[in-house]
Amino acid sequence: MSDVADKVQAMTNVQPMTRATPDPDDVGVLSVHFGRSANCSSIGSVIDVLFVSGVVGTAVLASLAVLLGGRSDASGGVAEDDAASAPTTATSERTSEDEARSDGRA
Amino acid sequence: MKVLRTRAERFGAIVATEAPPALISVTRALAQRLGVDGGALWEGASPGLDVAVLTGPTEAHVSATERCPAGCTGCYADATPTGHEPAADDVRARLEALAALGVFSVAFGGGEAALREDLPELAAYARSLGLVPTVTTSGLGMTAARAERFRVFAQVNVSHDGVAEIYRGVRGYDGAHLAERAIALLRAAGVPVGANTVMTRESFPHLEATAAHVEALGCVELQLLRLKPSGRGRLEYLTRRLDEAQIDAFGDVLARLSETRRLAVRIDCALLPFLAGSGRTTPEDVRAYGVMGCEAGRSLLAVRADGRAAPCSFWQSGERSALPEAPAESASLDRAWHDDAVLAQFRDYQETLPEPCASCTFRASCRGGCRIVAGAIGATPWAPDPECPRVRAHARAPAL
Repeated sequence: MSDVADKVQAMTNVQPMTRATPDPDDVGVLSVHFGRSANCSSIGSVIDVLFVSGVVGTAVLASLAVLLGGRSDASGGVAEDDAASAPTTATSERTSEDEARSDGRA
Repeated sequence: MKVLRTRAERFGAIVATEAPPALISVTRALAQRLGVDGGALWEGASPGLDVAVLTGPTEAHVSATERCPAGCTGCYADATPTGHEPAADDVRARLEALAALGVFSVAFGGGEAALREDLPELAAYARSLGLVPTVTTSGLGMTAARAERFRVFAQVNVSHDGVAEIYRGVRGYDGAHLAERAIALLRAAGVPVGANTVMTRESFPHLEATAAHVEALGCVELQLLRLKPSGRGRLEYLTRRLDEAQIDAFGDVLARLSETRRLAVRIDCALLPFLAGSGRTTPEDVRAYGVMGCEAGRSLLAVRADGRAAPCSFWQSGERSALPEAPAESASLDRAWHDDAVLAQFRDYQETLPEPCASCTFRASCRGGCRIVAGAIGATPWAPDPECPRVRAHARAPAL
């Protein structure tokens, strides 16, 4: 895997798939906008994923679909998630340190 | 994967997640599996992502103040040391209105937002409403104690346009050392820090060195920004904007940055035309990975210090704006999103793009380039972005 692919994997916290990936249209993810949009003046978009190979790029979308849908049979190493109990609003106060920890960055 | 919140849309839903932090647009079928009920929104065939406007903004840019002592020569907000600063109660009311609109994230800016003593409390209030708060700062006034209080932000972006002289050249203000001190203090406090880097003709050749520098300082993200002809930035825009050769090289530079740096690389909405014209990516990938062009009035709403809504932070009421002088009350934000004439103009223009945008394969994401640049250089904002390589070539092609 390329350095960029490694970087994208670390950034997105999504494991690459080990077999042919499904068409993202079939699994339900239309698009993903990564990051926290921390700029105050214009919309920012992560572009690193554009520079990885098509296979890895497709795997990112498909893996997200798997993670959201909890379909652990569709890729290697993807655990069941808690998406099914998603709240309609988030009201708990979290700090950036909490989030960094959950990102695996701290 | 932790899902923070979901919001129904005509195509299905938007899912806000952390680890990774992302907004994921999903189909109705997947949304349904996640427990989302689209109700009347899901009647009829799904339009896919081709919707002129979402049910509410996903992101809001909130000016916490117009006060800033730095005096940067190109300040897009025309901030001054005595600029208007809204009362905390007014800001809280605006945050409540944004939360009611279903906004996911709010980015505080200014002026120098970080000079507000109560900014961390306002961010905490935003979190209590379900909004993810971030802020952009020059680093002015940052201390170790203050950095600790900034842990309430999901991320802090510090403006850093280049090493020493490069920074001074871009801003006309010697603030690189303050930015670097702020980055160090915030990192020490455990706050994720990104660097906001405005690209000018003079600083562009040093971009890769700047990226290496801010990465070494501990930044997790490099946010590249196109220079905008807004505020004081209008005065010297034509001499400071990227030249045509730099625009043509942008895609290659971007790819090199991505390949050589560990930090995440982001581009702002106004830079998408330059990437699209580079041949370094495809319309399908740009769309799938949520790389956005002009989202003003579609998923983005800006709120000025006086409480008025705007399609984006750079759009200023003035000689070329039809922005109504709405009262500084929070309810106006909801009205603005649904009824504002200027936002409607943005949506209408993007639905009926003229050539060469109409036949551009990137049009669904690019949405016609930057209205601010088009309006400042041409006679009207409702025209193709004149700096887009495709638009440039179109203008130079002999008429048939």
